[in-house]
Amino acid sequence: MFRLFVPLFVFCSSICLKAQSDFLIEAESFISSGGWLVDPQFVEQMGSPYLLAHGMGEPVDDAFTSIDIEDGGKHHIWARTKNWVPGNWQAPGRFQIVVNDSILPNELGVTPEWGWEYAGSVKLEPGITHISLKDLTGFDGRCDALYFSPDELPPPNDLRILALWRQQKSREPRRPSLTKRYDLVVTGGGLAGCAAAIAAGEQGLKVALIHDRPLLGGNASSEIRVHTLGIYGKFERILRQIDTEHYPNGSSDAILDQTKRDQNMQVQANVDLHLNFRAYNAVSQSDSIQYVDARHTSSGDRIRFEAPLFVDATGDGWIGYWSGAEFSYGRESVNEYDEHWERWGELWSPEEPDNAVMGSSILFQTTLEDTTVVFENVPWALDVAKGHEAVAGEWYWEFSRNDLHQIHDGEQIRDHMLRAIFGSFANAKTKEENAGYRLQWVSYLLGKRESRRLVGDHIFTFRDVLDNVQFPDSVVQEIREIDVHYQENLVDEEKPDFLSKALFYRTGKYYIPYRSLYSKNISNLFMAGRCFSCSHVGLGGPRVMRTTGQMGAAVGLAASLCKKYGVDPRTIYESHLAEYMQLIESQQSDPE
Amino acid sequence: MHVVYDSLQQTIAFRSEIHTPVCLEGVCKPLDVLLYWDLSGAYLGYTTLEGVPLTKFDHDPFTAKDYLQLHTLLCNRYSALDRKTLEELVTSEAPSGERIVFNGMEVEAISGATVKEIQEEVVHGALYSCYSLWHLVYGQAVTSIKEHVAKNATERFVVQLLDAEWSHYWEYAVRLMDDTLIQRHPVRLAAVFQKCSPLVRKRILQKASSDHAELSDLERRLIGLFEEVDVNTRTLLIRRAIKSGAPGLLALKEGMNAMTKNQLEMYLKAAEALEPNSRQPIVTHGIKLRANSESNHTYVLQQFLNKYE
Repeated sequence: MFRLFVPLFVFCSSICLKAQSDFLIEAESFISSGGWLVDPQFVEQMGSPYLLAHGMGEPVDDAFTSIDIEDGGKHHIWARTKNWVPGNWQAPGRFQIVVNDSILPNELGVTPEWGWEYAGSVKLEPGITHISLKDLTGFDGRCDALYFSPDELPPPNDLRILALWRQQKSREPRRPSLTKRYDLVVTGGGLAGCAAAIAAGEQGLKVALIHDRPLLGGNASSEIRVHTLGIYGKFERILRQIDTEHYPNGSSDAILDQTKRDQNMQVQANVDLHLNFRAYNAVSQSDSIQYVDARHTSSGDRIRFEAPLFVDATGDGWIGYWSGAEFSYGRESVNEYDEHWERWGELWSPEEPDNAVMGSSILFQTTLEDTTVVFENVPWALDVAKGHEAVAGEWYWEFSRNDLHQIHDGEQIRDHMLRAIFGSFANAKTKEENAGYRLQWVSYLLGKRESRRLVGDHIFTFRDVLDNVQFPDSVVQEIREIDVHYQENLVDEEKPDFLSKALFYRTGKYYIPYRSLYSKNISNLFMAGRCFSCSHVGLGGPRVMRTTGQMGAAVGLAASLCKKYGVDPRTIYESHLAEYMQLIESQQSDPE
Repeated sequence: MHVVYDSLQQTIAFRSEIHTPVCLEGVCKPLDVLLYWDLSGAYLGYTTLEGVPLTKFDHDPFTAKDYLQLHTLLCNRYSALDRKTLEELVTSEAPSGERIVFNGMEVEAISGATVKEIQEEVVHGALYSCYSLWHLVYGQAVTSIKEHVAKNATERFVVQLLDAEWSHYWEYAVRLMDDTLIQRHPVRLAAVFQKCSPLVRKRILQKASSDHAELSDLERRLIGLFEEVDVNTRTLLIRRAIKSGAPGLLALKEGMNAMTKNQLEMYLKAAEALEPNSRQPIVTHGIKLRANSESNHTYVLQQFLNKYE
């Protein structure tokens, strides 16, 4: 730990905090996260990115930081954490805090729900103090922040009060101190966002691409590893720069295409990549977005992004949500858009609308070794896994339930999937023939299929597919099946609740109009990706990466015409459609 | 189409005698069988006519295995034969040794991507018979049966379906029941609710629910089964109970320890929204009694009590 500390400290000594009598340290801002991972997925629900000890059963290396203490003396220390599986077993994600080589007595990660747990007290001397997080289990302990105080009063737990308290402790001004201006701000660096940035950048727009991960690609990235499906449509040249081969779901082959994607995005002349920045607000005035604010997931630095045009490629439709765009969530009644498929009835489209959506996946990969590999018992996982055994997973490891919201309950859904995987793997490992299996990789990032769908001038539905509608503004095309998933336990309650099945409606080519790619009521907002304007069943086909990439490229080009004529996205359809469609047609050749 | 009755004169099935030519390029041969459907229009089985066995296109008679295979194919409502034309099922790409030729003309081959899909489903050498029968089984006959049943379904008939042991009959019965009939059979429907699939439970709940705050006898019985049904149905029961206010929440108090965290939070939020007088019995007789149990989510109850008290 200290060998690592010395050079890092020298490097960062100028930014180390001169601490007051009480002070807050964000765990994600530690000098070194060691083997812990920065998890920014659930900021909107629990208040902050946090460090996650995702060791798949092997305790991870310590995370570590140092701080220059001004006033010494006895300090009480709290960690904001949670027991992620409360129950009648030892909490799986326990860790301890080490201060200057002294291990504080209390094991942490033992109380249900995010809150401050008391770690112990320590006498601090003025000067440099070293602090580290010691993972005890390798099973997803989590730490959001540490608070040191001479007083015995813990920080607040209420989320709203906590946010204000945090602002006060970090002396953060109300608005970001740095503002950047662009022609187009794209939020979300999945294939849709990347394609939007490339297309607009190639047409000469100054583009900001904001993405909350270090790696681009979203569900296609080597961090999530959902394989790429769909066709290129009119945008093969652009999409080949960022897509992946059709590797098996969860395969480490995804890493090969990650490098290609990241490198190709780095060289885009007009695109500024803002990696590890997570948007947290979008403000509109007179139904027009003025700016998007984003925060760095480790340093906490903030930037305000101003532009005349914005693309929501966040998947969850956050930019639309914050700015007041109309959106839908759940399944429409079968009669709303006449999306009936007699064969599957209620599983396909319900008689009455409900809040069901397709679920999220966590993919994983195992290796088979010549020697016995031990995997410890995970009693806390068996409530979920029950008797299921598995040494491999696929896309159908998917979870959705009608008391859970894919956004608001994202952490619960991710944790449920981790328990499903760890428990099923542990069950399989009790068999002699599985002795050599090792859990080589388990994603900690949710691969979401469906959540908010922003409403555009046209809502793309299954009916558009059945009627083979060829719109005057067909900018995206696809031939893959309309593919809607359901949880297996809806048909047979004895099945594990984390396994799904797919219903495939095979069809010929279908088209998505440009009018499904901009907001109905926010005048300067495009959307690309799974938050485009569609019904639940309509999403079934085009929700995959190349198709969403087509959407991104299409809106990137539309943005260039918006700039050229000084108009909003809708006016491109109303007044410049021929030029726009011609611009799309010209995309197969290299731009001059 | 004929109705088949049992000894009590209850309708138990439908039957149709099929005499149809199976033709290819003007060459036809007869196909004679009896087809049977159940009361919901689902395929039950077939028999041959006396002295008229089934044969393949090259006149070879069906073997015992072929008869069984045909039945298996006809049981498959979602066979690849659905939505496919005969032309799509035949390919000329098969090696000559695998082709079946009749009167000098190739009539069936079994290779290629499309045909491979059905290769194991159809009787070898009898693709056309299989295709014709499958489309007879799932064609107009089903519509006719459903129309007949919908028009002639009596209460006795619906009860017969509810009392049957086949799950698809239960859903069918619920579909046939109007609001009045639903409320007249609370005991039967509760019994079905206990053993049917989550999808049928959802259907029963939709049919049983009214806009009234007050719970019907049937709804009370369904809520009483809270701990015996699946997790998704439980959410639907909680939502219904919440709509009825304090009586519904009280009716659900026994189920608190079986609730997920989110379900408990829904329940407690509804309890919190009640007037103090209405809330008190729920706290005293429900929440307090369960706040120290072995359930994994009792901490949610404890947090509520800390806040409430």
